[in-house]
Amino acid sequence: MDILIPDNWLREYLNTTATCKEISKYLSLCGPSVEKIIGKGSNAVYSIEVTTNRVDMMSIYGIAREASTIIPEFGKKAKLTPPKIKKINNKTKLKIIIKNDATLCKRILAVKIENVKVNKSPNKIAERLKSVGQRSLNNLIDITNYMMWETGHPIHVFDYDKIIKLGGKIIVREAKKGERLTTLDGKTYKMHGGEVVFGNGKGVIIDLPGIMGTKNTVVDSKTQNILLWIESVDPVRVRKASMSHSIRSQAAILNEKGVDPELGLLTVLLSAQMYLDLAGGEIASELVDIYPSLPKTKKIKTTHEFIESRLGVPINKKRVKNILDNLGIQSIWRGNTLVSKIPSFRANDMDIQEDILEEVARIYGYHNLPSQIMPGVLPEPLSESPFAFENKLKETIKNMNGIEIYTYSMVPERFADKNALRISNPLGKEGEYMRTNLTHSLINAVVQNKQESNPYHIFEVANVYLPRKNELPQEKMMLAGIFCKIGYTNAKGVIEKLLKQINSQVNEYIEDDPVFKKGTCIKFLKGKLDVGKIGILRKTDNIYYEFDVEKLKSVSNLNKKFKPIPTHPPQIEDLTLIIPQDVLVGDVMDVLGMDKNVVEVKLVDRYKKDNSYTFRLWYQAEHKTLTDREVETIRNKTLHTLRMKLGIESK
Amino acid sequence: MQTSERRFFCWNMNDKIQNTKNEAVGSIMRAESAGELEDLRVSYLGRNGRISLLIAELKDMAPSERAQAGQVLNDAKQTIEKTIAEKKRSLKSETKSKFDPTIPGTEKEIGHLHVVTQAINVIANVFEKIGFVRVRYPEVEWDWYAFTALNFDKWHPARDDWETFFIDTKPSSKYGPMLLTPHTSSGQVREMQRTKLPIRLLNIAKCYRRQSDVSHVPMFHQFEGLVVDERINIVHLKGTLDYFAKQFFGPERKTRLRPYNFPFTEPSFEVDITCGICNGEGCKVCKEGWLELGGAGMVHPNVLKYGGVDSKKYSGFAFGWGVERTYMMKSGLSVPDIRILYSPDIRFLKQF
Repeated sequence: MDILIPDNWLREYLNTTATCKEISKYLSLCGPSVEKIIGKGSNAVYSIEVTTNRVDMMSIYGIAREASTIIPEFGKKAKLTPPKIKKINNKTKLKIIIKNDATLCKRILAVKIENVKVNKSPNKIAERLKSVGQRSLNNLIDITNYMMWETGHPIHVFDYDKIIKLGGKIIVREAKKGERLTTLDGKTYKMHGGEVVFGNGKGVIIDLPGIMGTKNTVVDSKTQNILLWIESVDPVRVRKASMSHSIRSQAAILNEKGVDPELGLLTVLLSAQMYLDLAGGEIASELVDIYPSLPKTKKIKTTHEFIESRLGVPINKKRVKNILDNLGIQSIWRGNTLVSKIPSFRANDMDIQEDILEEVARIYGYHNLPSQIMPGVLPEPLSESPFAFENKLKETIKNMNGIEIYTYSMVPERFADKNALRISNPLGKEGEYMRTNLTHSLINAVVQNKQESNPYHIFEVANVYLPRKNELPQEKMMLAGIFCKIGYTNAKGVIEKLLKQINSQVNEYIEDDPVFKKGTCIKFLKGKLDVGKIGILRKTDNIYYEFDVEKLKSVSNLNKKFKPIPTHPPQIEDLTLIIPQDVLVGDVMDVLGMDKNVVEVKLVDRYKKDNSYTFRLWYQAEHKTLTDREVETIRNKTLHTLRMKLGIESK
Repeated sequence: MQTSERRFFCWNMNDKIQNTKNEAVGSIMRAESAGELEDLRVSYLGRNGRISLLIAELKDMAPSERAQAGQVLNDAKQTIEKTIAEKKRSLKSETKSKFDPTIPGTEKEIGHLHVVTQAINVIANVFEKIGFVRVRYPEVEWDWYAFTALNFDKWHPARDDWETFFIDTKPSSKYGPMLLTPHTSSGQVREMQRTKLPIRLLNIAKCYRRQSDVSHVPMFHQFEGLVVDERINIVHLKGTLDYFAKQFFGPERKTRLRPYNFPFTEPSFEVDITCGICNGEGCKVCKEGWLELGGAGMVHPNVLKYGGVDSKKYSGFAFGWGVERTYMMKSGLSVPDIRILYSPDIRFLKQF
């Protein structure tokens, strides 16, 4: 939550010699963060971020209280000026009947002020409201905003006579589904049911407490008598009503965090005084205080050992007590045990000894602590870590000019498999499903690179999400990529090199797949294990491939084995064959490489016109050079097999 | 040398001829001038050239082998002569022009790893050096791990469906609704359940939040550190974060802790680092000389409890920061819109 705190207003409660810059620095180090200082000199305004657990700091007084504890830690003087309260001694009974529901509202404070004069607010008030981002309307409304800023408790003012006209009753109840109300800014809302509202006992809603006033009881230029009013509605209900109707008033933002009901008394007394000063008028009733259950005083126990061991440095008991006492947390040492009484304005925030530790530590100053890496035994590493393998894949592809891409896990319906997980609150239809493959995301990426005229290869390593019954989905890591404007042999060469680099024991098989054009798909399998595939996509000529990373890892080996360097040179010879259309080159190469002394077979040339393919063969025996005669024997055997099995003649 | 060794190391004639031929052809193909070609001709075919010497060795061979070796040698000699002649022709036909070194080199293609991958690798490396174990916990997670076990109360705004993505599926009776995790902190209790102490966890994974604007992207990466052991304290948190900052950003950068509030830590902090542009003096980019890195804190005892760890005996600290944000602060790399990091545009991807 952010709040603007004008410096001159702050200094009405904070008596200190510290400069604006110093206040800003010290607060940020030990308390709420001062994001920036707007303006300078007497017009300086602090823009402060207050965490949601410290609604007690969402006010001039709250910040002053913090600052008065923090600033002295830096060697500068600072004292908190207590507010000047005047008690209300009037004993006249309030004519309006108030009926509370203790489950909905923890406290109600009310007092009637009569004969007020509606006017413009004095300059000082209007200026201050402007500097905190509030509009000045008239004195009656301005005072409620001013007081909310000053003490941190929202306060409301009703037109007294309007309430009397509507029945003279204020009943705290839940709204029924369908009931309507019109807020003071003229907007009408239909209730969902369950919102805390004030009713007049005759079915009319006369306030949306804690959030915004209603038109039928708001003060206006004709108002003569007012009912000054404070309530503490259940914070959870305030948030629900405020969020569901999108009424995010400052009052709602404070109330939903649970403002201290004790603060209500201080606020109503200060406010009453302000009305008398600025709007004329006299107190015309007793101060009604409906406070069904006083909060129990919370106590937290901790030990000296605990504080020192978590802080990491020694700190003496006197210092600990001083810090806590200054924060309003009255603490006593009993031996080495510390017992702390939690003040009402910290009741929602403090429960355990770690909370006490935090108060001590932050005032001591995190900047005053040394900095050391923890010593100790190191944890066991993971027995199976996937990261080195994934990085090896990425590096190898990158070294062959692959460009890595990251695309969104969330995809539109047309990209998703039938059973893909659906997001019930997506940001838009384009991100409604959790993808079950990388295919469409990569194809889409190519579409988005229409302007690229040069060939390129993009790839991604990412999870796909396969639903499982009654369980979280399987997050399967996939490697996939697309070659754009790159020929099939070049693309396949990259993949074959990748598989070779990681020593993959896979074989290539022709098998159709719906993603690819018929007859263009090669699957990579080890035995029955389906590891990956490559082929030409249906609608374009781009080549797509994908691998199941975990399966690929299981058939690969990053550890290279040393192969003794051959002592004898190989015999290298070229063989040109005519391969008819119905015979697969892969099958020919399998035959060519059958003999154990043929250590390598490469396709070095191809003449499409007459289907002639030139292969280069490396003949090598382990401990000698093969003679021409021996090579000839092998060659003849190979040619014989080619002729018999595949019907191929050599050129 | 023993006879057996000599046999092992001594090539027979065929081998020698083949090697010499291969070597000669290779050198000839690489020759760049006629002069070089002539030198090569002399060194292989001249009176004391390698081929000539081999021919001389023929007479030491047994008659049965001499004929065959002679044939092979002759073939090799002819191949070399032919290759020299061809190369001479091709060199001649090249235009002879003055060598101009200012001519630009031919453009070479290289591949690219994504900037997020690079960032993750650097971050992982820094923490692995001090014994952190890198893991990756689920992106699609249960509400229990993402919120309940992290001590979020039922009404916390992060649990609203304004902020977190929920999966359209039947909730688990034990773990609540299924969602896309908004933070890597959901791995904390998983780690405590997975392994015994001590813990030095580094969880780097994708996170998802329902926000998309110039400084927020709905899918992003976080890295989460969790240390649990006996007597872990705030000094250790400071030490670890300072170590990371110095390793990642540079030795002259400093960090500071400011009080903050998270449900899963107590005390909680926000961590700042000195601005790299103004060195902590204050400038347009930073806040009075500081840049926000992210949140951290001492693990809340309730979270330890959910993880089955005795909070009286053990304590810990945790921090979770955005990979993209942190990396962008390192390099001074400023993108006008963070969503560009997940753009498929090659013109962006090729920049890294």
